[in-house]
Amino acid sequence: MSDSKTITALEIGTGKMQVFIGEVVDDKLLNFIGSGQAATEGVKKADIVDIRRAASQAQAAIVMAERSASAQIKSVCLGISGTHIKGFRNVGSANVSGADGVVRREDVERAKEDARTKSLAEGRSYIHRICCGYYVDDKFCTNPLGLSGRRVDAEYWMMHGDNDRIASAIHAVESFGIEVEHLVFSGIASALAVTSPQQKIDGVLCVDIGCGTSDYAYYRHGHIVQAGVIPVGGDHITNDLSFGIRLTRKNSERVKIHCGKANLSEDERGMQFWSLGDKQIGDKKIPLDAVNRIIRARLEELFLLLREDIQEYLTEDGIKEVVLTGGTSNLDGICELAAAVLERPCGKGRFDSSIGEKLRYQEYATALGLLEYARIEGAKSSRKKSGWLGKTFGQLFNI
Amino acid sequence: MGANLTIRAIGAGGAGANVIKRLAALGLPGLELAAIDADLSALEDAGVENAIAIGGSHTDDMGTGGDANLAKEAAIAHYPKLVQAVRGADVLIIISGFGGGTGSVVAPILSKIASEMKKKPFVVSFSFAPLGLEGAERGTLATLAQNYIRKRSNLAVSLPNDIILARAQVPVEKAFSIANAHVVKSVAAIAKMLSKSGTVNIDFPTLKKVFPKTGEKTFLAFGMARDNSVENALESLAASPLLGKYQNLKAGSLLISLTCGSGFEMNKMQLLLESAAQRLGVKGRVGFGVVTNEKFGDKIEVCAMGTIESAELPPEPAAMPPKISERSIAANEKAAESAEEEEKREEEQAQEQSEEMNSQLQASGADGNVAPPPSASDVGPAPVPAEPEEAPRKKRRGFFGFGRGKDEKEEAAAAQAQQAEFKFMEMSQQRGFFEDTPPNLRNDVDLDVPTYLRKGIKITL
Repeated sequence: MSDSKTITALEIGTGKMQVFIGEVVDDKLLNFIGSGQAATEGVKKADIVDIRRAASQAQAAIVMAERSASAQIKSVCLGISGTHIKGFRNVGSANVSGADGVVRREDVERAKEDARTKSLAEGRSYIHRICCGYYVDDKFCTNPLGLSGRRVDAEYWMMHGDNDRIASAIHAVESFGIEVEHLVFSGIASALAVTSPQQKIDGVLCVDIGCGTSDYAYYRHGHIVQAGVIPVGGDHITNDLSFGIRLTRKNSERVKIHCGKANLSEDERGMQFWSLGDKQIGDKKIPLDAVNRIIRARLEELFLLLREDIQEYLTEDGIKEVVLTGGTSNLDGICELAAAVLERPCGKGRFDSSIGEKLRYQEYATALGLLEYARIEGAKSSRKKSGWLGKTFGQLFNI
Repeated sequence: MGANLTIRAIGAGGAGANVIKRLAALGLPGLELAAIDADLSALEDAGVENAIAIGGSHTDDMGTGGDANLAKEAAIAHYPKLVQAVRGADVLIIISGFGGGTGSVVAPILSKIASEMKKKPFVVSFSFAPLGLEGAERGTLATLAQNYIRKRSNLAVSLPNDIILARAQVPVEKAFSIANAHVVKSVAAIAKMLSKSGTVNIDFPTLKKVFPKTGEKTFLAFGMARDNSVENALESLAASPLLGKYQNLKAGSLLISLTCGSGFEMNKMQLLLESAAQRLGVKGRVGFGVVTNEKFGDKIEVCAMGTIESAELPPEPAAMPPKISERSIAANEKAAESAEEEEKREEEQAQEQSEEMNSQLQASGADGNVAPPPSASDVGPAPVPAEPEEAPRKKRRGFFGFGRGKDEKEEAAAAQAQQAEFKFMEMSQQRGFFEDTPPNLRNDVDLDVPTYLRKGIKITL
C-alpha cells in the first residue's frame, strides 16, 4: 500500500509570497497539487519590516493555495533570507579512538559535535549547520567511516541569523495557526531546484538574484561548501534607475523589465525610447545607453561582491560553473556579465525534466526547492520513525 | 513685543492656499492667515476667512490655467488688495508653488510690495519648485520667481519637489502632500517661536539679528522624532528635504526652535541643541526657543534656521529635463488637495491593487494550476522607441511678469546655472526606496545608494 502525505513550501520573498503544495508518495514521488500567490507587503531587502502586513499577505497566499489544492495546510517549509544572515566555516576534530586506527561512527560524531557546538554572539541563532565534508589526517573525504588515520576533522558551514528577524518570519506564519516545520535558507532551496546532482558534485555556484537580495550556495562533492547573502537585488536596480533617469519607482520597474539589459550591442547604444509613451507631461526621451550603464554598474558590483565572498573557490578545483536563477536572472545579458566577472561559464537555472512546463520559471526556483527540501527531510524523518522516535525539534535549525 | 507682533502668512496660488488651509486647521494663536488665488472656487474650498480673489473678469473667477501673463494682468488689476494684504505685518510669511500661473506671479509681487514699504516687514518665503518632470519651461519660470523673491526675503526656503520625489519614491500627488506637510510644520514652528507661547522664546529682534539682510543665502530644516530620541531628531533634521540641496552645510548663525512634551529632560535638550550647533558648524550667533506641549508626549520637533556660511554644491549640474510643449494645470490642482486625503487615497489604491492581483491569481490558480509569475506585460506597456531624427519640440516662450530686459535674461541665465543645485543631496541620503531601512553596509559602503552615484559614473539623459 502506498503512503502519501502533503507538504507545503512558503517563500516570503521581497517581490511575492509564493506557496506551493505537493503530495509525496512513498517519500519519493512528488506531485504538485496546488499553489497560491500574493503580492508582498511589509518586506524590504528580504527582511520583514511590517509583520502585520507581511503576515496578512502570507495568509492570503496560503488560503489561495489551500483552495487550489483542496487541502488544509498545517505546516510549511519556510524559506528565509535577508541581510542579517551570515555564515562562517568551523572545523571540529576528534582523535580516532580505536586501537586499529579505523575511523568509527563514534569518532565522526565527536568531530561533528565539536564543530557544531560553537556558540554564537547574543541575539544570533543558527539557521543551518551544514557538514561540508571530512578530513582524515588532513585528507579530504566525503565519508570517513572505515578509513584509517589518527585524527578525523568535520568541516561545517555555519549559517546564522538575527533572532528577532528569524522570529518575525516564523511569527508571520504561526500567527494564523500554521506550524513552521522547516526553516531553510532560500539560496539552498533554489540550488536544490535548478542544479543537477552531477553539477553539485563537479562544483557549481548557484546564485538566486531576487528582488531584495541575492542568495548563493556553492556545492562541491555533492555537499554545500558555502552559502550566503549579497544584500543587493532587483529592487536596487529599480531604485538606481529611478534616481538615474528620474522616474517614479513604478515606471523605473517598467523600464527595467522592458528595456533593461546588462550588455548592449553597438546598434542598441544609440537607441532612445519614450519613458511614458504618452508624450504628455513627464514623458521624456531616455537613451538606452543610460539605462544600461546604471544596470551594468549595479550588476558588476553585485558580481564583484560575490567574487569577494567565494574568491578561495575560484580555482581549477573549485567552482566549475555558475548558475543564475531568481526573477532578476531574466534580465538580458546577465549571464554574459556574470561569466565575465566571475571568469566561469554561466547559464540560467535548468529545471529537472520531471518538473512541469508551467512551473519552469526562474522566479519559482526557491519555492520548488523548498518543496524538494521538505520531501528530503520527510524521507529522512520517516527513516528515523521506522526506528522508534519521530522528528526532533532540533531538525528545525539543522540539516 | 510678542503680544503686539503681527505674524501673517499669505498663501499665493493653489499650492499656497492649500498650505494656508492646513495652517487654519491647526488654529495657531497669533498667526494671521490670508490666501490669494485667481480661482474663486479653490479659495472657497480653502475655507480661509481672509481670502483675496484676483481672478475676476480676467479669468471668470477660474484658475489661470498656468498662464503667467494672465495671472500678471489679474494681479495688477488687484494691486491695492495685495498692498492691503501686506500692510501692517511685522513678519510676513509668503507661501507659494512656483511654475504655475498665480503662485509664480503673486508671491514675487507680494515680496516687492513688502520691500517697498516704509516699515519693512521681516519676510519669510516658502516656495515649492515644480517637479523636473513638469518640464523646463515651468522650471525656468519657477527659478526666475525664486530668484526674485529670494532677493527680497530675509529667510527664503525653497522646497525642490524633485528631492522629495527621489527620496521617497512616491507618486506626484504624494510628493506635493509631503511638501505641504513640511512647510506647514515649519511655519507653525516660526509662529510658535515668535508668539511667546513657549518656555524659552525667541524674540523678534533676535530673529532680525540672525537674518539682518534680505537676499542672503539661508536655510531652514525641520526634523522630528518619537521616544524623545535626540539622535533620531538630529538625523531627521539632517535629512530634511528643505535642507536637501546643500552638502556639508556650515551655518553662519543659527536659530533652533524645539517643541517637546513636558517630560523632555533638560540634559537631552542641551545635548540636542549642542549637537545641532556642532553638526552645522555654527560660527556666529546661536539662539534657541523651547515650546512645551502636553499633547506631544514623547514626540519632539526641531526647526533649525540660519544663514549659510559655506556649503558644498554638487559636483556636476544635472541635465535639464526635456522641453515639453503641452502643459496641464493638473499638477497644481492636485497640489491643492489635502495631504490626508492623498495618503488615504494612496492606501486605498494600494489595497485595491493588491486585491486585484490576488483575485486574478485566484482565478488562475483555483483549479490547481499554477499562475505564471508576473510577466513583462504586468508591469505596464513597453516604452515606445523614440525616433532620433524627430524634430525638437517648439519652445513656448517662458514668462516672469516684470519685463524681459537684459537684466532678466542675465537673471534667467544665472537661474539656469543655479537650478542645478537643487538636484543633488548628500550621497548617504540618496537611498530612495530603502530610505526607511537600516544602511546596507559592506566594506564601509552603503549598497542602497545607487552604484553609479558612488562610482561617479556619468549618466547622460
